[in-house]
Amino acid sequence: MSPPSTATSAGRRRATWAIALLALAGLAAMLVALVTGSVPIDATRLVPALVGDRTDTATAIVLELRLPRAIAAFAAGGLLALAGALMQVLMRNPLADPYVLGISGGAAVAALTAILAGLAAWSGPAALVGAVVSTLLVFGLARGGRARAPWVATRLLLTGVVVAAGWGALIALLLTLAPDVAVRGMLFWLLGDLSAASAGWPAIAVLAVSLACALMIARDLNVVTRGEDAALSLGVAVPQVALIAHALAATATAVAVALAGSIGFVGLIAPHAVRLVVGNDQRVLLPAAALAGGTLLVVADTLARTLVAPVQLPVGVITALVGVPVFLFLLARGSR
Amino acid sequence: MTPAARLDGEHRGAPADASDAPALLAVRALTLAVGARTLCRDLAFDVRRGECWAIVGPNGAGKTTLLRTLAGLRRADGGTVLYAGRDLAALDRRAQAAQRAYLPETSTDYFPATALDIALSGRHPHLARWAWEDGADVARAHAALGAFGVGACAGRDVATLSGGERRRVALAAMLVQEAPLLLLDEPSSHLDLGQQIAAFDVLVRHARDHAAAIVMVVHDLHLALRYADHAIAIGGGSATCGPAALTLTAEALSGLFGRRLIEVGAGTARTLVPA
Repeated sequence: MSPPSTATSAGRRRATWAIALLALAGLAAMLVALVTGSVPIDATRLVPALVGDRTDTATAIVLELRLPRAIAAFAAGGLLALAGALMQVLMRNPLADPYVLGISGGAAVAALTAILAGLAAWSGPAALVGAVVSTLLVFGLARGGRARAPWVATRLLLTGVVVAAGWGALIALLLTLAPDVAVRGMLFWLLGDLSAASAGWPAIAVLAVSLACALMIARDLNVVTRGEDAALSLGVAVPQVALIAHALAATATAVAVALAGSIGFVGLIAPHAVRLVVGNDQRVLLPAAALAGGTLLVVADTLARTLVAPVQLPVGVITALVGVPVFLFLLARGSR
Repeated sequence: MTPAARLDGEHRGAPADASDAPALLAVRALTLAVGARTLCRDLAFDVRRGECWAIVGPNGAGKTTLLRTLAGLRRADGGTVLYAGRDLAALDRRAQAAQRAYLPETSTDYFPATALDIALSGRHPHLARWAWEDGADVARAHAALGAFGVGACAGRDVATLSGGERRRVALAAMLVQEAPLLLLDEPSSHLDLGQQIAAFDVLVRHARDHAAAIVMVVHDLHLALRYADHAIAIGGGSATCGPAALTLTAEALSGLFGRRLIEVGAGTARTLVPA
């Protein structure tokens, strides 16, 4: 069987269709998210609600509750999928995910500390700081004092795994020490939860800018997947390209985690599943993965707040419940 | 001292037959070291258009290290490498890629890709940042795959190809890059006897038609004798270089490999074998 490729005109048509369909699916998921919930809103009333005045109940629910949450879900999903796709190229492993270098652990420790200190509203900014600190820590340690040595994927990976284990221990310590009332909020944060997400639009802007930057080096990344020597001899400045890609992936992951906690599996599944359809040309894969990740998370969050309503599940539970079997399926398929 | 070593001494200055154009590849006072071990010292030679150079030597002598240094993939530990008269270290990666193509000893595929995708990656240094490969690029890739007899594999996942087919796809990608200097690390590995000759014929013809030059690491002395007009013999911490007639001799190479070699065969079938 031949894998999808953008080298043929049929492959390019397929890629165009895939991106168009994913964009449509994203819009459809958004609309469903806006009309579904404890107060169902007739689809015909949606447009008036979106442009109407805020004194109307339907307008208030759509504009102030559901739209910001759906936007935040799309942004977080898109950012995680983009980061996952980049990490898969950087680690030269199609099963890498955005958290593979331990970034979510650092974010979690900072966010949980904020919650424990009674500053739950500050958990987002705290997570952002924690993610940045963790990233700098891993990259600093992986370089090991050799100022001019390049970062090697295996060394980064090992450092990331060990640093993540350290964060894991701190998270367990914080959960153990926390009073019972705080533990629930902390667990929701750890699983990934969009109910308090408020900064959707800025996150969408981050997604758009990082996707544009990633597309600028997309063909370079295609060559990087062939190995470092091959990429260097084809004219790619590999250390610089890898640094840009690492910075983009870390930024995207940090913003997503600050927005909604460490939601699992979206960053792994979305790029991997999209690769099966459009192939591994990063110029197509990156935007397609971002659209797929955003759509997936909007759908998952709609399910999370409606499945056992009025109880709202953390969206991370849904992504994990769906993600685990899908991941195992992809793994089994790949090893055949 | 072997005749080749004496010739190396003479070779160190400006070559006697220097034309006006600078050599495609010029090496001056090159020193290579790995850790505390010196692989060669004060190596100097010029590779001109149309020439085919073989790098021969025992395992671990530094053949791949030398080739990677010539390709700009590692720094020289002393001396300079020049592409068409310009210092390699001063050229950016893109400018280097316009001058030389490099075939690694092995290719690893971490993600699924078709043979056509791999061949097309040779166009990367020719395309502007936002440009896509056009019909002419795809036609070049198909032509190169066809030249190496793997045109029928164009749409197949390279992971499903045999080692020999995968090697020929990598060779095709190299020609698609259209660089005047071809640096190859054991191009014949994984290829059967017939395919070795077929692939080398394509390479040599390409070099002749495009006024390109070939520098290759080869283990098979038959292939070196058959195709190379110059050779670099590296081993035991030093390297000698010069015309094949002086460097690729039983006398010179017996010492290098630590085994007495004798010449057998004639014409294109001439080779050196252990006695």
